[in-house]
Amino acid sequence: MEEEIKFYLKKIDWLLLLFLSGILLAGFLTVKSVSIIEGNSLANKQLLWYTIGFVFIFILFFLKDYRLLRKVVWWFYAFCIILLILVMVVSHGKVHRWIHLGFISIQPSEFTKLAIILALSDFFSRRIKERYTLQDIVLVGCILAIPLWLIKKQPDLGTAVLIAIVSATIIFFARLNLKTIIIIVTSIIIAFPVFYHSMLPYQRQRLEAFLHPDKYKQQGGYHINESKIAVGTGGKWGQGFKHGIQVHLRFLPESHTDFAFATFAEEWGFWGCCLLIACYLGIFWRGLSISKEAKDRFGVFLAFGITALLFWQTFINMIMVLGWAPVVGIPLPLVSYGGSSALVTLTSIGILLNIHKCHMETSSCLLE
Amino acid sequence: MILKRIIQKIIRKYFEEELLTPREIAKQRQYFIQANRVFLSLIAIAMAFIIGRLWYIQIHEYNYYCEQASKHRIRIIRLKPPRGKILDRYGRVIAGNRPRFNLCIIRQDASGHIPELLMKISKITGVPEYKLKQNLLEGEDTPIYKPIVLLSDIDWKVLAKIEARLYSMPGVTITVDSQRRYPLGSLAPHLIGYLREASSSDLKRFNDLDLGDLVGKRGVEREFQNLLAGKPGFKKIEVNAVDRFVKVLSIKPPIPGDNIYLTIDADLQRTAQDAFKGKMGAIVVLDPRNGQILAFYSSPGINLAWFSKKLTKKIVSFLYNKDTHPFMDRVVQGCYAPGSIFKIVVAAAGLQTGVITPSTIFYCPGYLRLGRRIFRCWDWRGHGKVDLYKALVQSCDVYFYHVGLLLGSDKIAEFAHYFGFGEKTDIDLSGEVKGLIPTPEWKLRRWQEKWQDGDTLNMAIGQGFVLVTPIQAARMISAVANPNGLVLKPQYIYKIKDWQGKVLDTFKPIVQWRLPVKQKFLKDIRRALEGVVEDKHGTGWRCKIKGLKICGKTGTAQVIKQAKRTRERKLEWKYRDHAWFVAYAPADNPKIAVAVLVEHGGHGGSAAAPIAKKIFQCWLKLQHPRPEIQSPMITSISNLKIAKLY
Repeated sequence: MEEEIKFYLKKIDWLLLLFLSGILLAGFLTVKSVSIIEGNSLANKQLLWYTIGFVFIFILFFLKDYRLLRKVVWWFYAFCIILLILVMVVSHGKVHRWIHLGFISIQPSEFTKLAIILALSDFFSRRIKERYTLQDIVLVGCILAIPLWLIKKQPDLGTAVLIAIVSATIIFFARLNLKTIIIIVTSIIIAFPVFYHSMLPYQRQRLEAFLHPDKYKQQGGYHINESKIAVGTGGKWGQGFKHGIQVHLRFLPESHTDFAFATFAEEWGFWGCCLLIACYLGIFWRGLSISKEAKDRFGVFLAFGITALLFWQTFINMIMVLGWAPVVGIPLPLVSYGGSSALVTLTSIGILLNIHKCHMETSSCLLE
Repeated sequence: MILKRIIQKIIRKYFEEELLTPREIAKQRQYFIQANRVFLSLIAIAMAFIIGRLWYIQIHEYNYYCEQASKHRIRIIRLKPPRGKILDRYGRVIAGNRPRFNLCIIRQDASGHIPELLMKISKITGVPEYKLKQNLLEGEDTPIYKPIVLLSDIDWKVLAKIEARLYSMPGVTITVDSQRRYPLGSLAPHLIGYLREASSSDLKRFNDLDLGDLVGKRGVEREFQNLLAGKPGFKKIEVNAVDRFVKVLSIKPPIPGDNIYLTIDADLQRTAQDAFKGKMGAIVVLDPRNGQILAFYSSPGINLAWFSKKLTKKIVSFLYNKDTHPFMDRVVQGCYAPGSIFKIVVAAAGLQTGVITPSTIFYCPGYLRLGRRIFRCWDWRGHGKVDLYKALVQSCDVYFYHVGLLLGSDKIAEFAHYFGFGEKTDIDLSGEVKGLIPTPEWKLRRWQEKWQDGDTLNMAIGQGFVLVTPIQAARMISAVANPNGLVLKPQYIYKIKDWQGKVLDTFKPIVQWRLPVKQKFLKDIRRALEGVVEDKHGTGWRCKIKGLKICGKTGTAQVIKQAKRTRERKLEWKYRDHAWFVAYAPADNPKIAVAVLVEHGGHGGSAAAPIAKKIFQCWLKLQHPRPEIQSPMITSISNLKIAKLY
């Protein structure tokens, strides 16, 4: 028994877990601080989600081989689409993002992110080419089209764009031929005005506010302005835990979800932020290393896709908080409050750990 | 199941895993490793940008953002200081403060159910809802954590009703601010003045003032606004994003205004006001030894309590009545012909210039013929042989016609100025007028007519163009009463204390100049003035009091020319004569001087003297139970600083 435990302990990517725990700590402290104004249950709920997330990590880690996932990839994909349709039907009001299940509410678009990465990884590992052509991209487009359309319909433009960006990253990673790249780039440029027109008024206002921050100080620019002030008052060492003025006087909107990073920055300052960013960098590094050493194409794509997803979420959220991007509803992974997001992110971390474990097994086999 | 099979077929066709040669696999692996490296470096660059941005916002622009943050979370609330009190010389409160209860609404706490609240309040108070709404709209610009006054100065009954229901009306509060209170009634209203909300010009004049503050509009309240107002305090509070109050950061308490003690004696003032009931006119009581104003009243008075509320139409129409002019302060703004009280000036001028002596005798047949015109004495029977004493006691006009002719208009004007006529007394009240002492040049300029001897005659008995104010008359008689003949500035400030009781300023007598009349001549005049009251033929006998020797002079100022006159009773009220009486007492050691004017009162002896008598009686009564309070007096005249020398 002890042998067995030792055997497994060896195969855990401890560095990844270290960085992960750093981020989780930051997330917990942020939500704990905000829970003063938003209600005490917030921090407990977040802790509960972390726990459930760890159960998922555990399960996925002890999964014999991540390749088993390939059997359920498309079922999971279909399940997510059904959830997305369900959320349109079930929830009422203008915004259809959550399905309320009594004490919790789940956000199907979060699960869709993972589903699409799984689907794309499976796609690219079934259809192996040195360079992919337009025909393949059209097929990928077919996979993406339905969920993206449904998410945009919610409306959750931010997540849709995020998924598109992550998919694009994966596609480029899979290697395209030059002709296809040119076609894709030109079609994006042509499609942009159409895309702009299809945006809802509030989305357009946010974009406008981002482009002309002074003009829209009171309306759309309010979020970014307050967020920048919150970050700025943090200074070098921060205002201290539970002492963020901008947050606790409610100047900062969405202080525990989309703008959680601003909350963290105000309370922990520049050096705290550097530490947090270092943790994120560490996770990305580990993720890409795992992708490098994965023993098959599916593993490579899966690990790369997960890392890309985490990176883009982190990056977009941070530049939004720092006033370099329009306000979009993309949470900071594991720091922003949100059950679905935390669950999905921790699950993906679990997958990464599993890929690592399998790699260790094969390499050890090879050595033997 | 069929669906499943179809999907599986599609998947098999398009997504079947192809087998690669080991070389291909190795090549691809190499590519992936490189791509991963590129991506990792891209990530590192991106994160470096974020750290750079963080550095810029948190360290480089730190001060800017801190300033921004405090700007929108700190609000400053002004704390109004209580206004200083105005008291009489013995410390009795004339204008104090009382709490005023205002029904207010704080929108921060009432959000959502304001219409309901307005309905409830309307039901309780009986004030129509649209009025409440109007008041609410007026305060729309105030921040939502500040109360908006819906009803100001609610009475006790309503207050009790509201208080009992406060628990069911979140957002409704009662605020208290201070309001002027006049515990002794409206005493010396024109001198005290009243408060109104500050106008835009007031805001420019006083820097500590805020919109909606009360500011003194006349009298002491206006002249001493800066001292009475005190210094406002400040409360720094922190508010949150929706402007809700969070906590108090610091408080600088307000400094209450200074208390001003007037030289007014509330008892005398009350007596004077009672004596004037139903009459129009003015009265000034001075202390001839130092120029302190003991009583000061212009009738009809105004009720100061009116001004603490919104003026009703009835009150406004009373205040702006064209016939009675209650707003006019007759003491310093009313110009009247002095009538016979001017004879004191003419007599002094005659004696001093030497055109007459006390024993010079003129014959009075009841008139004086000058060319073709006849100038009558007030007593058509004539006074016979008249010397100075008899002329003043019986107020013989003919005697003074003669003196006037001997003096000429210039000399009379010169001495009128010596006695303070035709010039402001410099009392610290705005709007004081000069009156008028005519000269030939003035007449030419004003009327384009030559000065005639008739004008001199009219001037000699204080008729015609001569105009004086009651305060000038009072200063004149107190100069005559003053043993040294000093002309003193009338003053009403006794002392000024700050809120902690520290004395900031006390009364100091100011000598304006000295009468250029020899003491022996003044003595002759004083003896004659005593006769006016004490002599059995004296015109001022109605003022006689047992136990107090009073000196005085009556005056009757014509409103229309003598020729048009019929008998007094038949004359329309507004054409009747103005009645004057100036007096002082006790004769040998003057301590109080009075000038009374009754508009359209008729004869000075019958209309004005009784009012002065009431004042003297009251004063006499007050002497016994109460010792005189210490006031600076002029003890020696050798080292006097005299403002103006003739």
